[in-house]
Amino acid sequence: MTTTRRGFIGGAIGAALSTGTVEAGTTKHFEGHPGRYGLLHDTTLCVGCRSCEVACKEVNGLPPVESPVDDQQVFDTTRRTTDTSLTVVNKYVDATDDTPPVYRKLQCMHCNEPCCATVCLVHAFEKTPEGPVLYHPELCMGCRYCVMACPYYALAYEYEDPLTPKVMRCTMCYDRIKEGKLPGCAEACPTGAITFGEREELIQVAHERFRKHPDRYVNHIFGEHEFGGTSWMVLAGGSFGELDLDEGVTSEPLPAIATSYLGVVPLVVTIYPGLLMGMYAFSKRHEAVAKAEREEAVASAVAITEEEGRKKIAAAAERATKDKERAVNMAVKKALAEAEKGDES
Amino acid sequence: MNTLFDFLTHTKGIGYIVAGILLVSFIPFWRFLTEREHEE
Amino acid sequence: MSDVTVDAVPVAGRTGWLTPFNIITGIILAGGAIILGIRFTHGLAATTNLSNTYPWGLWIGFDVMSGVALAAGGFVTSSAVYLFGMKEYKPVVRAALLTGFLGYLLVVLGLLADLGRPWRLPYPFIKSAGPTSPLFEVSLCVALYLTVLLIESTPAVFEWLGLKKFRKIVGSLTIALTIFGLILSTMHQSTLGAMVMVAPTRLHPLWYSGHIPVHFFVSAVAAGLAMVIVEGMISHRAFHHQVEITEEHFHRINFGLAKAASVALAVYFSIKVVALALEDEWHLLGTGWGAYWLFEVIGFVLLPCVLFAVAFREKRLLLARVAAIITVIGIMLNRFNVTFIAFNWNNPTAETYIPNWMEIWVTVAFITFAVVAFRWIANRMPIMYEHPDWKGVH
Repeated sequence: MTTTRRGFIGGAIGAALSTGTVEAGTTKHFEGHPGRYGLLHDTTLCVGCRSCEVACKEVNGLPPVESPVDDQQVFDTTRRTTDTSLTVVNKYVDATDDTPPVYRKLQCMHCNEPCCATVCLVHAFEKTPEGPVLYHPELCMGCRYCVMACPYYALAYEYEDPLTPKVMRCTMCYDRIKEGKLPGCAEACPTGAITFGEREELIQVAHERFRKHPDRYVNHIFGEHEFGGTSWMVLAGGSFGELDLDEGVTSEPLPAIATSYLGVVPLVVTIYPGLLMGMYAFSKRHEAVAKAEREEAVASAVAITEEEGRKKIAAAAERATKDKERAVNMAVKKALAEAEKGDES
Repeated sequence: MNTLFDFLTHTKGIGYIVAGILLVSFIPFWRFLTEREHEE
Repeated sequence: MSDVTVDAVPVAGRTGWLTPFNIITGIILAGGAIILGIRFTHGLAATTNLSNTYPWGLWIGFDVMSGVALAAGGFVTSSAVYLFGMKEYKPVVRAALLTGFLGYLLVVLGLLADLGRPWRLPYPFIKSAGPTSPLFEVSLCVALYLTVLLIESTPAVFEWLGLKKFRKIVGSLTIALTIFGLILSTMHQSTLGAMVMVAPTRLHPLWYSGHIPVHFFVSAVAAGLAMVIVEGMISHRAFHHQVEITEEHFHRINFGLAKAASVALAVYFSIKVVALALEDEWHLLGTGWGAYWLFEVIGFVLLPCVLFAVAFREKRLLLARVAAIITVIGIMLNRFNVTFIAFNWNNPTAETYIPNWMEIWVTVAFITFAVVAFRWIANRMPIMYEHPDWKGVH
């Protein structure tokens, strides 16, 4: 099944992501637990026998594989892990040329800086000093944020379980590792496509293979740095994009990207009270000033009206006085004129 | 403190507690600042 | 209670309890309860189309993501009235806060249905905290904000019950609660957006942005304003006998909201365009997903922005209401895109997700519950009007 479309898109995303990345709020660099384990998956050696799938189910007490391991039809669809299959092998065919198909084993990558752990609101995941990322079902609320976040689509959920559903994922056989044994898949792999060991040593092993067989490999260890690096590292003879692996992504750990915004939270909590009380006080003052101006305007309007009223009354009074004077004068003149007339007759 | 994840768990945990205390402290601070205004 | 002069038409009128409204809502709610019963006896697989590639579907995309955004009218109007002194909006604050409270209640109900083990909801606060998780922040804020909204809803209850002392105490808390509510809303509205930042390879680059928290907050403001208009459209008619403000005042309020919504949408549109520039994504607009993004941004952000502006300028109420409905749909579309449409756009197994009828029924049942509750409360308590004993008081 061709996956060239994804390769192109992976590159486009990579180009977008490896510029403007965000900060976790710290400039410290973290090396991780020293001496922790990892696994090297050499896809040039994988033949798709699916012995790892069988072994994984056995070791974890899960239902056996549905179809026989030599059934090639299984590879007709791209599979992913499920709640009963913690690992699957996919076949990747480049339809454009005659190169032989490539097989890759999918499972939890046990990232150096796991984003599943970062997004879990009950801290149900831990990155152990030995390397595996462990999940604690006794804390899990079942929000499935981890299932949503994983860039490798590695986590599954028990949707059929009504009351005690769990997240299901590869555990890197943590109990076996603690006993000094190999993980089930590594032990079962007949071709050496899976190598278990200390992560730092495996990187050396990979470089050694590149040196010895330069034509066989693309000179890149997928998982060495991508999103902060993974415990499961992959080698390939061709494009990683063809294997559904985004090789162009940033080396900034996903926890840094995921939590970058959370630094704002304490800022909002400490800045908003002062800021908002200030706005409230300002709006109250604005109201008070507006009220005072209104009252002043009303008062002065009243005063002006009163003043005008007074003036009108005064003018009217004056006019009345003048009218009265005139009337009196006229009456006096009339009386005098009549008196004169009376004298003459 | 080997991983960024451990570091972030530690710092963000403290961050929430500190922010909460500061937020609550704002109330007595504001009342102290403005109580004389109300006495008028 | 007997001196309240407003007489709501009793729900149990001459026909008793079997009104068409009660029958229909009863069927919807009963069906929802049955489906949830199946969910808790046969698992999420029996009642949803969720999968390992799509762990979040309609219940998260609508009940949680959209529900929170659409309930934003509470903090927007209460901040406007109590912090920024815009008293003319006071008549709609109580309804907006009640819508907010019921909206957030829906969020919690949706979570209780969707979580694998909902009885463990308090675990982050009492058993094991994961402070690095954006979801931790969201759940803390939502829990606190639901409490704030509950307290902010109690004045109406105390007025209804005649408990003057409690009413006075709760009234004195208004400013503090409004500020706290604005702090909490700013944080959880934006952090809901921050939740998807962890998956840059799973969310299509046109929707993914380092600034998605800001996108979510600004769009929530627009969503809240639009919802106040939509909710007012319905409740103003349904409770017309209770409304005391003039039609003219109600129109002025709507036009003010339309003006604010136009600005909020303009800001939102601008920052979406800025995001294209920041991540150098112009070439993606020519793809199929680009066309779909343009459909969302032009059809449901730019268009209602312009419609709101014209509605305000020309004082056309119907246009404002149409713009509000488009905005609400647009917010839901955006949240669905970010949760399960543009999310997983390039997943290796080429799976897609479409909610099944049971998921849709339960979501409709939750909304119905909120409508029924709003109606019950507004029929009895001073939400759409001012209680005569408390007229003009804070």
